Amino acid sequence: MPMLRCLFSFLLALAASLAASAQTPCQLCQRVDQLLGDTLFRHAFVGLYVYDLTADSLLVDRGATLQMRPASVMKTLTTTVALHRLGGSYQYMTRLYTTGSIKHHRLRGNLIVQGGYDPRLGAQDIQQFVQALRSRDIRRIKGRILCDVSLKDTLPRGWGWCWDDDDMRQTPLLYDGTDTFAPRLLAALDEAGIRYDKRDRVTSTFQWGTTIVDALPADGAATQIAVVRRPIDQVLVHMLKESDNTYAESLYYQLRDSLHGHYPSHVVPAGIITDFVRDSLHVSPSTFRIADGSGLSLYNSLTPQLVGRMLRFAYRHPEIYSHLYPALPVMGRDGTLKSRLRGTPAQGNVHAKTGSETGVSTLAGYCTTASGHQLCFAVFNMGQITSAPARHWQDRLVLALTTP
Amino acid sequence: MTDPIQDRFYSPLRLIFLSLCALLLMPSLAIEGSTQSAVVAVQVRDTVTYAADTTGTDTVAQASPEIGWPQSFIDEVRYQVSHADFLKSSQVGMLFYDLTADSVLYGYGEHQLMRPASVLKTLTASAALSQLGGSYQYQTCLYIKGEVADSVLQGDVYIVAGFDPRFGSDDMQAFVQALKDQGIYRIAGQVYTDVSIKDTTTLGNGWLWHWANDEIPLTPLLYNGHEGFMQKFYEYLDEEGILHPATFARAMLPSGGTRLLVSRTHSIDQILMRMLKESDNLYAESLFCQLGAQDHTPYADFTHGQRYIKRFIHDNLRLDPNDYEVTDGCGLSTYDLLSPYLIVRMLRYVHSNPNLYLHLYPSLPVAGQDGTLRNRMKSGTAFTNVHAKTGSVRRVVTLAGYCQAANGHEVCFAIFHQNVNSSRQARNFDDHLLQVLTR
Repeated sequence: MPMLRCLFSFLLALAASLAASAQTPCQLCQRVDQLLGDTLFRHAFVGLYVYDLTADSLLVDRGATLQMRPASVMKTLTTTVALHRLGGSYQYMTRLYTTGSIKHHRLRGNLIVQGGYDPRLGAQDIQQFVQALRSRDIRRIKGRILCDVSLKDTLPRGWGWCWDDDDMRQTPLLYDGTDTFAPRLLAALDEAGIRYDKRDRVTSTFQWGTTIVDALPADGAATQIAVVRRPIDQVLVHMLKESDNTYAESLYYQLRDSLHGHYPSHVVPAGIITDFVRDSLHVSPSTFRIADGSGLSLYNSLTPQLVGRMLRFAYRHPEIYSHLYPALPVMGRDGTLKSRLRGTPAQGNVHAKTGSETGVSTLAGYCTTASGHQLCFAVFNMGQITSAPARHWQDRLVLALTTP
Repeated sequence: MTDPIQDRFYSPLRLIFLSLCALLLMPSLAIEGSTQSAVVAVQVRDTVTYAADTTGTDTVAQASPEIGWPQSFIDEVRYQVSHADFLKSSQVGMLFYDLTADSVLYGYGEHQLMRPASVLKTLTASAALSQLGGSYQYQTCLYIKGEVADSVLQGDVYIVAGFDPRFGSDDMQAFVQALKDQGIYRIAGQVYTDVSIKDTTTLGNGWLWHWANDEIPLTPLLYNGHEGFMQKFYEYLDEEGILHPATFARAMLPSGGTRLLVSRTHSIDQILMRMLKESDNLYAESLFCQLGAQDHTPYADFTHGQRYIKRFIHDNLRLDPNDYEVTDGCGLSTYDLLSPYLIVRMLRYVHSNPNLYLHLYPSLPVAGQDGTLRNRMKSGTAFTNVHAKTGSVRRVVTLAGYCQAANGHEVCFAIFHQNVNSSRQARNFDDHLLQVLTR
């Protein structure tokens, strides 16, 4: 009798476990298969990669090796590489230097601001700079006021951007995200009663940048008198939640080596990202192209598989994941996903980056299935005139992944 | 009440069976590496269901298993599509249509929307031929306002730009001669240029900003296809000793009180020849602009030309223009999205309309012989047989045109590649298919 009972429970257990495992992956695969038969794909391409992080297995791979424009999903790759390389405690630095000497309230030398491409630099920070001058009792600058913008090349826009993209001039010294730092600094000096030679007054940091290749003397004769630090997290949250292009470009140009010298072009960070993808994600460089950090460029191309592997890599590296995950938009709650799928099981569950360009619609991130499995996914839709049908399809996809 | 014995047996057993089940499920939870090569793309392979979107005689007919067709061609395309390595990472859409039998020969992903690149120029050309006619003339005009007294023009000169890229030295000579014929040796007033045929943007909609260095600015007053018209005009005036103001200004031709002195023209055929053979972007944009200028709206932007293309798609090709996007005339724009199906329908429409065909066909590059096909298909059966427009922007390769198949049937085709790492690979792929088709 105990033997029989044993056998019985054995069978029960078998059935139960079969049912349980059938419910998670296969049911999901079936749902996704059904979605992939949508009439949308008569006109449009799709690449889809879904990975079960909990079970450590691939769930869906449809056209995942197709190269496509990632649009703003590119920002997650920029973020992952930045976190991997620079670390989560990295800080943007905007430094204020003086050269020469201070005598009788006069600075007999230059005042140099070294741009760190801090997109959040604003009024407070300029006040901090002015304060540093006042605390040294400088009331007159006898030399020049220089802006060192050698952090990146002097191109006003990213490589492969359209001329009618309405983005701000990309320069490593910004004020509230715009190219108005120099006039703001001069205005603050005026207000503080610090006099300077008005003949040298110029209005564009770009002009300053072109005239000064190395504002800082090589012999280290400059003295740092102030520095504004910006933790990377403060940049990431706005960059990913709101898909801010300037923020993404600023992070992109933090990726550099001292070897690369001044005014590095877009290929320097691209090379660093390419190395990461090859070495850490084990994806061949012949299957993708990087041209900027924001995804605006026409010349970016990634595969859903690459993005999926990157998300998996990030998940397995807490030092990346703990910064990346909280910065992603949350479905139905905030950022670019704020008004999508409210009142569904996906709300609050899906944390993902959106991407949207003409003819391109992408989504990549994390979600949890009804059975508690953590998934990462990357979906690229391409070839639709308007993004609404593609976004709608993506919504159905993440619903299929998250509903019981 | 739980049985302690049962529980003790239950948990290890369950573990074993869970792992057993996992093993059973392995095929569906395929290991990543093994599936990489399995799926190429989610492209619709059941291609030919056109009944819904067409009516009457314009329907692109269902493929018929006609006798005499080189099955070997279809077999070969199928083989190439499923075996070409570069198609694992790139997108392709293609449609081959038998014009003689009026049926689809082979289609694959032909409804997919992709960047047409310079193949768009054939659509611009067809729409222009259809809307403007084959005898359309580009015009650049010289007007004067005011009286001529004692060899002095007591008034202004107006030059009305027509975005004519072929305006050259003989035209300039004619302009100056016209002033001389009036006995004008001094312009007392102002010289105005009327460039209101298009807006003042110098790059097409959806072009990249750094192309400003490579592309000729889209200004409607050109001399030999370049900027510097007015400089040249003044040089010619100086040569003839005609005194003129030092500067010039932009103004629209007043509605009254002006007199046309001379109008220089170039035929649409002269434009088409260079535009299609050499894939000249400026020429294509000038033609796109002529379409938009039909609205007679001063400083019309790209949406005017776009409207005429869309009208052509709707009225002549009988497709829904909202399913496609065209924002320039040459195909550089990142926003342009067409399908091979649309291009084939257009080629078929053109083929059945001699008014269009007689202008378009001679302007297409010929394989191995001229234009952008000069160095392709230089031998074999495709040589001089294929007449087609090439398209090539970064990571995009396209080809569309006509050829005669081995069985003597006329065929039109469109092949679009997108996201290719090596354009040479894609071009060789296309050339190979056309060689097989014509063999």
